[in-house]
Amino acid sequence: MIYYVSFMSKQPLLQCRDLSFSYTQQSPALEGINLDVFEDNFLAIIGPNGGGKSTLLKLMLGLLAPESGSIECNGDPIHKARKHIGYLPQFRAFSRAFPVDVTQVVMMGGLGGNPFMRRDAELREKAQELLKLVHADGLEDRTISALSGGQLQRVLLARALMKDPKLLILDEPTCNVDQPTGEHFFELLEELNKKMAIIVVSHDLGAVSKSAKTIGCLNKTLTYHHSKTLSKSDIESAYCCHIDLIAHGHPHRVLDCDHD
Amino acid sequence: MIEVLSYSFFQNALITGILASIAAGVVGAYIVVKKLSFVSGSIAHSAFGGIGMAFYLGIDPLLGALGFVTGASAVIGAIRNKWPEHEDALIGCLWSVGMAAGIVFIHLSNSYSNDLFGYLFGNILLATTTDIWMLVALNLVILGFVFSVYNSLLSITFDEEYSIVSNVPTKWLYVALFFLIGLTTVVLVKAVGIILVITLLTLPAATALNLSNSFKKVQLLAIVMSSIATVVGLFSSYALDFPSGPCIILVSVTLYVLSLLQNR
Repeated sequence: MIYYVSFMSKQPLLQCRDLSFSYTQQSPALEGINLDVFEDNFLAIIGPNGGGKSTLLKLMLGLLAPESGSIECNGDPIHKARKHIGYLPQFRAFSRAFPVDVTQVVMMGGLGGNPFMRRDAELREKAQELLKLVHADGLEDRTISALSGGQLQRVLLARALMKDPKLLILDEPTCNVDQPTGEHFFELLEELNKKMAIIVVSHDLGAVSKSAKTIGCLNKTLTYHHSKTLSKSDIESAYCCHIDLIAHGHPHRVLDCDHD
Repeated sequence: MIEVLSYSFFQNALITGILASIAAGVVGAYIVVKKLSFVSGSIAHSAFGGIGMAFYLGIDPLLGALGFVTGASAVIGAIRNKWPEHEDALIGCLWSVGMAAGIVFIHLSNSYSNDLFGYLFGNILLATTTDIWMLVALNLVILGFVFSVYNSLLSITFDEEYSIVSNVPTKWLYVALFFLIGLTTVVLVKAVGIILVITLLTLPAATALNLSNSFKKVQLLAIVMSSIATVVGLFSSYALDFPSGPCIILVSVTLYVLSLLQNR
């Protein structure tokens, strides 16, 4: 009970209340989502394709407006507060043939507000610092078309960090990279989690179960207990099928699971 | 061949061509990387409505064109924001509505003149000193704006969604980019005419994109490519006694094909 009181007294960084959204009138994509994200959280959201994961992220970023319910960050509506949010989208958001180099891409993360205020020198310096932080130094002058999948993800992570976000949102960050690269990426996220909250959507159950502090399962509705524990029935009802809970990795890891 | 340089009309034509190339190279790079050539075609053709209206009112056709491209860029910005699902169809409509308005105005003013033919297909050899000063002014506006918002403009063309999330005024900057395309169209109408504008807006930049992988270099190289096309096009039009606009276009197509071969 004491735990409960202290838990309630903390102000959540991101707060979703009865959030619903639908693309078509017949079938809602998300229904009654309630979610509190606190400043030290590392929340992984798993769930089947078409379960609304990307839709939920888009609502959190203010790219979509909720049909009903509310979403607030730091007590402000999302379009005001998103300067506190860093975002790493999926690959397909832009063309890799675009003629820009790594430093320019990272610098773009620091833009916003008045476009006539050019702060090139300041942004460049910050971009170079962050490229070191994500272990991508040495790539500064490469064009993005010359990067491997893992390198590009590090560069985009650096872009997401340009505004010193309080919350980092990542959409399938390791879906196009090999397993060791993915593991390194999640180790980096664990490091970053010391300074900011993280929400990650991922299919990589192995990495998620190792790095994330809490796990939620989304399929139209969100099953989330502020813990790493999801019951087998939680997961199976979300995925609508039997799920093998043994993940890849050495040694084999098992998602915390209540067998009920 | 070289004696033609002593004629002031030819000097004016060369200067016009190079001024047009500066605008076309700088703005064309955005059109090519963001695949905006359909939008650009629509804005360019809407300029014809303005030229027709200017004939009807008896004012400078370039002023009429300027008014119409301003309206067209605002309308396209609104279409993209409000009715994105119909964007393609509505922008296509704007294309022919601009042309239709132009034809109606010209019918009303009873002057289907050779001049008008010049605006459709370009007659750079008729460029006057006044035209040149107007092009200088338009270039200064285009370059000044691009320079002052360079990073944000690059960001919205590279990754529109991320720019929105970063609170870059993305919608507003897109309207500004459409307006820049409109200004560039007005600059290019003198050189190659409305029908051919789209080629000079896209081909030199596409050529440059085949040869470089930095956006700034693409813009500079596009200016060079476009200048080569206008200068070589002008000389060959004089030598062959062909119309100048089509010659400029054919040279820029040749440059593009060469860049493809070089790229392989």
